[in-house]
Amino acid sequence: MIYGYFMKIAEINLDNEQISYLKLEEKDVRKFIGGSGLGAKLLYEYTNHQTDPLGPENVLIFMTGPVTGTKVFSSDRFEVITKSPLTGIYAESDCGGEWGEALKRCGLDGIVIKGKSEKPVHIVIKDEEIMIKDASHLWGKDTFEVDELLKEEIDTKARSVCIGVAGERLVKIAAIMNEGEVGRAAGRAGVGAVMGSKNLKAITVLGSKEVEIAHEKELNEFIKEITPHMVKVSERLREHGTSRDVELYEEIGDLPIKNWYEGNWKEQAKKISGPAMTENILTGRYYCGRCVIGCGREAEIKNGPYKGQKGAGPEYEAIGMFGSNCLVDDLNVIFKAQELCNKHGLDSISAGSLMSFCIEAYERGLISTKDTGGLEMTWGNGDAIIKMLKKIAYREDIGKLLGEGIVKASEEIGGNSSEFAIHVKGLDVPAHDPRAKVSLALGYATSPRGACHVAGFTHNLEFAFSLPDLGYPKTLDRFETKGKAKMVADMQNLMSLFDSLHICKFTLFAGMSVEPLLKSLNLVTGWDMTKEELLKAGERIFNLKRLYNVREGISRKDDTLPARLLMHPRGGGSGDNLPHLNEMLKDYYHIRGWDEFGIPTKEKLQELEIEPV
Amino acid sequence: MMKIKVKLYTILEKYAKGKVLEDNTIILPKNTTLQGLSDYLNLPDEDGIVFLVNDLMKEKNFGLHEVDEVKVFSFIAGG
Repeated sequence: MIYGYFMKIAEINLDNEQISYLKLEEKDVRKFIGGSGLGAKLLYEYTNHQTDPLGPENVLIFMTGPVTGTKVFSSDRFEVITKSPLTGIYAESDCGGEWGEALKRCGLDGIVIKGKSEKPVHIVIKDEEIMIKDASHLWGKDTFEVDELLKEEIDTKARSVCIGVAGERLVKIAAIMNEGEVGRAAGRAGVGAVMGSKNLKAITVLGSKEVEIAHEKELNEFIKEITPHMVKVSERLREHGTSRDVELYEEIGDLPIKNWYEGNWKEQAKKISGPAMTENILTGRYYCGRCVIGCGREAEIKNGPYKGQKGAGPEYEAIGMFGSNCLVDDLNVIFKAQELCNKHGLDSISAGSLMSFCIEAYERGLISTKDTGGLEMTWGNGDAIIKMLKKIAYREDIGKLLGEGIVKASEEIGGNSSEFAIHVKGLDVPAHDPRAKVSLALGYATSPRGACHVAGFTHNLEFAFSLPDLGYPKTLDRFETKGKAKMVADMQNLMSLFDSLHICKFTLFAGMSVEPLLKSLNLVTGWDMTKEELLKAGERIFNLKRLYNVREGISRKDDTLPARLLMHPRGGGSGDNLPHLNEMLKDYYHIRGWDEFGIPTKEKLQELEIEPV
Repeated sequence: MMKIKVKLYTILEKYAKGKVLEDNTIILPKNTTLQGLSDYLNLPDEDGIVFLVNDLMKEKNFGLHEVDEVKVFSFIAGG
């Protein structure tokens, strides 16, 4: 008996509608934990460098972790793992809500979708029964409608993930959405397009099985003991949501402004901040399953052209990307943009990035209204942004090109547009500026999926936070290069564990640091894992993802940032500071045990017990 | 004594009541540190309290000067 797991993954082949089961082995779950760890292992084995991300040979993997379905905080999450059609490399995308627990209660640790259906289908999993149903009546519908329809058709307690029209039309920034209007998203790297390529509209799960826990009484006591602290510390995040610090980020130069070019936007930042949202449009707070934080926003627009719109209020990333980065200081417009992303199934980070890119291309005369279908893509033009988002989802006018991703769009638009196409390995940079917190430069350059701030979540240790049980008792200087390579590697290993266990990363700085994480895992599984073994597992998982990318041709040449972030001082709160990426990268490769080209050495792989395919 | 400007953001705004004047000014003994300011305002002593002095982040042992502008944020790691 392996507690915390069902040791079973369903493999659903849409070519022939055959269903088989993969039995997990204890040595593998102990080495790769679950979530993106086991998912990366499966992806590494099931695909290769010749796999077309949108071809039937690609696989779409949904994974839970060993603590999913237990009382461990914020553990009702799941991870989507696949080969990205946007970047051509490893992709993972984490999602909250309640779908993860509902899947696990079907007696499954995960599912692997293979092949491609000839017609639109919908997978329904009810405990041990897996059905592949016709989805022609769902095709073309938005994610809100689909979620409601499936609750009516299947069960109000059932939980669904689905794609919108963007995923159906293979838009390469398409997301997989969860919880309908609540708008939880596995957003990044085009995972929704992979689902669309398989003609798979939705997956509904409804299970009744209990996850067996090795030391349930002790786990309950432990959760009870740490709950008051976690609730208190996260009060600040609950009150104003993820966008609570927009003004602070503007002050310190972290908030992207005018496609990462400018440094100051004080008064406007205040208008689109979390407190402004609380004051003007907030109607409630949303908690994912097993969550005590409640960072999700429920909002309603009370006046103006979008009056009456209700739903998930914008997250910080949407505010940074559609707001300050496009010079839009109207919270209602940002809310509407977020809603369109959720409804049509688009990644709001990449969609926002494409908006600022498109505006800069327009302002510089590289594109015109002939390309945009008559839209004047100018800074701060919220109405044009809203209309352009629809064009991306429906592949109209220049929206068709933008939907191919920022690299392809830049290649086609030409001129000097590559100078202001802000991405790493094809994935758009999220709304935290590496000139304000230099560890982000290294984190973005080496994240397995391209520019990602949560693969390392390092920037918090450069600003007001410490993590003593990982060896960081003090906050590091945010502009200092020295010491950052080790911190980034350590944090990436730790975050790989969060993505594998699978727990919300916001719990980390509310008390769920290394020791409580380890204790939770051991109480659930009954293992006697040491801190060293746990962190080694994190290192193994991170290296496996790197190995996947190395097989795709990734090396040092790709571990870089756009020139604007490396060479252009933005002023404002980060002044003339620039990240010294090459210096950090050299140290990082050494610490990682990678060679000068950024490739894990044989010795490192042997140490981590990874066998290259 | 010296006059400085202090602005408290979001959930810290409540600590200004009765201690910071409407024009955000506050009068403190000369050479008061940020720790002294924190004690005077009775700010919570926990991770995530950030002090910017003239827009630069400073530690609590930083000594304040006349006309300094202090911004205090309660920061939490987030998206």
